[in-house]
Amino acid sequence: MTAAAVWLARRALLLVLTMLAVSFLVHLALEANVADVAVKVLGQFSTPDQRAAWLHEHGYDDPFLTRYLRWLGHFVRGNWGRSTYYQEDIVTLIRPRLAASAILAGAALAVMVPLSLALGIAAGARAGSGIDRAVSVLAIVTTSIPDFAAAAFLTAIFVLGLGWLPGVSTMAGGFDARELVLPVLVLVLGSTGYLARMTRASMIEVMAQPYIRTALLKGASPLRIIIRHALRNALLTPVTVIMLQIPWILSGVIVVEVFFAYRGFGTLLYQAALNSDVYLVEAAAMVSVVAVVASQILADLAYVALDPRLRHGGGR
Amino acid sequence: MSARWRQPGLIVGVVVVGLWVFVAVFAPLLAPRDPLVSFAPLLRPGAAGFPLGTDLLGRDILSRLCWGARPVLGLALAATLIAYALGVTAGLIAGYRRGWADTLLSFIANVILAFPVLVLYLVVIVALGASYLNVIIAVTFGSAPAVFRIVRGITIDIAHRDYIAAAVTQGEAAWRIMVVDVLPNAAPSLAVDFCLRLGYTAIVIGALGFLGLGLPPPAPDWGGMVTDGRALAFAFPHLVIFPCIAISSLVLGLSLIADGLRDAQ
Amino acid sequence: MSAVLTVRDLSVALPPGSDRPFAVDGVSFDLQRGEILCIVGASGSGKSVLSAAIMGALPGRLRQSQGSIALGGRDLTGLPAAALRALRGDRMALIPQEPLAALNPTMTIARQLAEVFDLHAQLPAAERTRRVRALLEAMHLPDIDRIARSYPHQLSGGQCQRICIAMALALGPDMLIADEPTTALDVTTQAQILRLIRDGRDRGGHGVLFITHDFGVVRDIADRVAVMEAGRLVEIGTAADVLLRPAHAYTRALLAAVPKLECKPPGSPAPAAMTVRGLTRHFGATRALDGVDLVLERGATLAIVGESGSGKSTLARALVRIVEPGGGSVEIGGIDFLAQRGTGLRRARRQVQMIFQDPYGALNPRRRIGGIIARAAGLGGLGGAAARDRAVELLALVGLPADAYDRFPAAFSGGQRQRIGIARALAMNPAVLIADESVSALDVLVQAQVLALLAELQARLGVAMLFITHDLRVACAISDRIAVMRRGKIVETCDAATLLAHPSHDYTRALIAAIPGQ
Repeated sequence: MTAAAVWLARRALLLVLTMLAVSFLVHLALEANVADVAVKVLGQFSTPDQRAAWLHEHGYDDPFLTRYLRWLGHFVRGNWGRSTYYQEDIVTLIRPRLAASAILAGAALAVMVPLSLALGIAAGARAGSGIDRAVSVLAIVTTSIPDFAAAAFLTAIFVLGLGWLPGVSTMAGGFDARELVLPVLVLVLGSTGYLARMTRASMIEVMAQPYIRTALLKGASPLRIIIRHALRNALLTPVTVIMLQIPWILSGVIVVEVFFAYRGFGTLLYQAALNSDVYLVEAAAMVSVVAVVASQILADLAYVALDPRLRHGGGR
Repeated sequence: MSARWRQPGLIVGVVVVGLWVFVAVFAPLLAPRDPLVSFAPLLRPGAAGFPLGTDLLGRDILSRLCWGARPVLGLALAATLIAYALGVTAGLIAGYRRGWADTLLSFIANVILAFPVLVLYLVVIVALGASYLNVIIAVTFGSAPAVFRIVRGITIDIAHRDYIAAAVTQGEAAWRIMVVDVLPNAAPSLAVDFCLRLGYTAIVIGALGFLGLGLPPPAPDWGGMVTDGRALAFAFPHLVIFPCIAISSLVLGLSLIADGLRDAQ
Repeated sequence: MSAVLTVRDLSVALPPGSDRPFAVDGVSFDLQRGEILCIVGASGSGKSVLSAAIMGALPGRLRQSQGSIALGGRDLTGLPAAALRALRGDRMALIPQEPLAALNPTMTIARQLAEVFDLHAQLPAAERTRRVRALLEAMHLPDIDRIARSYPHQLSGGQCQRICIAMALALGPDMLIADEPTTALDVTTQAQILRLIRDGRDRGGHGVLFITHDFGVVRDIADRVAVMEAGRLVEIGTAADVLLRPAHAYTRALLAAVPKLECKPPGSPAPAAMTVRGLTRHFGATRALDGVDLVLERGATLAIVGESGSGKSTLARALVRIVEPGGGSVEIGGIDFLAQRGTGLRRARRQVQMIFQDPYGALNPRRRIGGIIARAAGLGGLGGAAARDRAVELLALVGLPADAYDRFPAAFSGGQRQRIGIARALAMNPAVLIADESVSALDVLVQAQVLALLAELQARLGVAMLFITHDLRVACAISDRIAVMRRGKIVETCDAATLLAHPSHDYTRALIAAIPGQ
């Protein structure tokens, strides 16, 4: 276990350093120019005197590094400040929105991951077959349609044309699973093709390995070869790819939430950006990066679980 | 070379992308009307003189689509080219030199890649404000680390080949090895990625337009047209569908070219 | 004796557009119970396709176009897939060429062995475990419990091959195909694996189809020999007949090209071209080079012989400074090569040039041959036109046509590429030429030609050569002196004849004893 433990520890350290660098960048981008911060918080029509007083009162006379470290200390302890636009504590503001987005993203992943793995494995198990070509064409077309365009097309079909589904997902009358269908479908369409293609490539590579031939020459059936010998090895790549896809899916979540007026984390961040709500943007950016980094840690753990070469060291 | 042209996907891709490039270049000649001038509002497609109808302000949708090809293609190309210049240079150095330069450059790339693209852009917008230049800066900033990663990976792979070792033992200069020996062998893979990235950048620019954070409002911008038409889409779906078809076809064309180039390798 | 395998008029068609219509072309032979039949041929002769056809596992783009294959009297051609599967692994089995790659990296050894029983015999779990253990014991593997729990990457190549053999013999097959089973292994391991295959045959009484390119191995193991050339079986007979009285011209040519254990007479002493003192290089805890001393005389060839992991390739790469040495000194032409830095180093590099192992990786696929050689000549100090003339001259010298100048590497065979590599190395007029396993990727006929070219060029140009190889036979054929390397150290250096006749180190004795076909 030691080799894997050392590897994981190094990865974790790297991710912590990444988080620190990210927080510094975010803070630098948003709060380095103090005059600008005052304008954004107090509004266009505040007087210079008001701004100066406000800056002084909120510790903006200190050097940047001091302010950064103080902000970081507050952030780590869960004190994320107040939203200037919503006039609310940011933590209480974000929490329900994050839960709503987690439901959306979770539902999308729950459909997307099994679907893309199944398609990719079916396509890659027999490269060049009819299934393979169909999956390839489908993947190219779906990955080429931007999320907002897919949302528009699906709305045209299912809302305007067939009238089966609601066109907005405000959940005004409480949680309604029907309102979740279109946003989830858009996210699934956006990434399934890409993940399926990656799985297919990995599967094709594995199926060409000598140990697959060994299994064949042992007398194993094609189905058994795929399930017992190919699957585990072929999943190594997609696990990483799925996790690397998380940032892209999060971007998609923002677009989809805005399109369907879903009251999630994405719309919150979007509103904050539109209204120059500095502290809220800062906190929301950090939260999304934490989500990305956490997904990378999960990918590392899955990798260690799947690959004995990592668990038991390099051998020779 | 000739085998490349026997793939139907590649041909379709080249035709579609070529068409949009043609439209973007000759927009002033092709667009039947001024894209900013109001005529009768909300004409349906097929109305006399307005084959794709007009929008809420009565502007000709066909003309806006033609003019809208310019910012999408122009910004995507500019941002991708700059991202490539940065990513290729840094990737070659990191992959060939390794050591501390690699550690540092890879760390920077990972930090930037930890941001979801749109979050990165929202942060930049709040910090700098929205403008053509800031769109390019933000998209380049997000794209260069991805290019860097790919180039670095290919370079590490190629640097282990014996022909690189041979060049080293001949006393060839490091920059010349990178440019003459590594880069041409990386070129086929990079050509595929370039097409994909161009499409991906067009998607991001479209999404920014859709969020109302891309180009300043009167400019014809495919993403922006979707947003403008969305409130009326229930009654007038053409406001939204045509720009969506435009951007999807452009990206699909680029994907088909990338796919064709990959198969031809 | 009864035939366990009967192959009649077997042809396997290649896809349209290949260099020949058939990979296997009208092959007929019988394999008797208890015999070892060696199939010998160069790469591309169709011997591996033949084995795949017999196992009913041809790659997708190939198909059997005519003929019949019968195992124990039962025709395999046209057998339904399920019936064929029931035979594979049970009545017929295969030992692969790359044992580590042939084992599933994410399954333990015990599970991979047990799978054979699961597929073909319904055994109670306890009985299955007992038989897996018995198999491992029969393979003379140490610490069986640990190995059963291990994953392939935790074992050596030789151990992995023993596992593959155990898997093949698990159910006592009627026929065993061994497809170049020792090519990826060291010579001492090869000897053990050959013994294991022979012992298995003695006990099991199955027929063995042994595919190899190495006549030394043939001499050690074959009862009968079949020779394949371009898909055809050109000669088949008893080992004694084929090896001693070959009937076919191709067989005679192959046999003549096998390097013999004959030494060339040592040359007269000359001043040193390169002096290496205390060269070290560590990779983590591994001492790849652990204080190497050697002297290479002008105009002479010194062979470095060692098994994989001995550090011989690291030595080659450290001497041209592709791998940076950790310590020691290398003196060439009166300068300390290791002390050179920056521009001085780049200029000094032309003194030591290298010929690489893999002919397919050593040439930039995107540059023309003439450009590659002329660039080397240019860096060696010649001007543009002079460098191009030199490239043309060198192409002729290594026996390539003049039109090679404007072509890309893809247009050339492995042997031709190796000639281009030699021309490139010579273009800089180096004092020392380092050949790192430069003929080991080549077929025996081509290998003999390239060795002859190297010897001739060296005699003509008087360049000193360090020839790194795993093959003592090749070392003897080309070198004046031989250094034996093991675990990063030179254990013994002397002239080739003395080394063979009176080895002073135990390891050298083991190496000589393991040479196949003596």
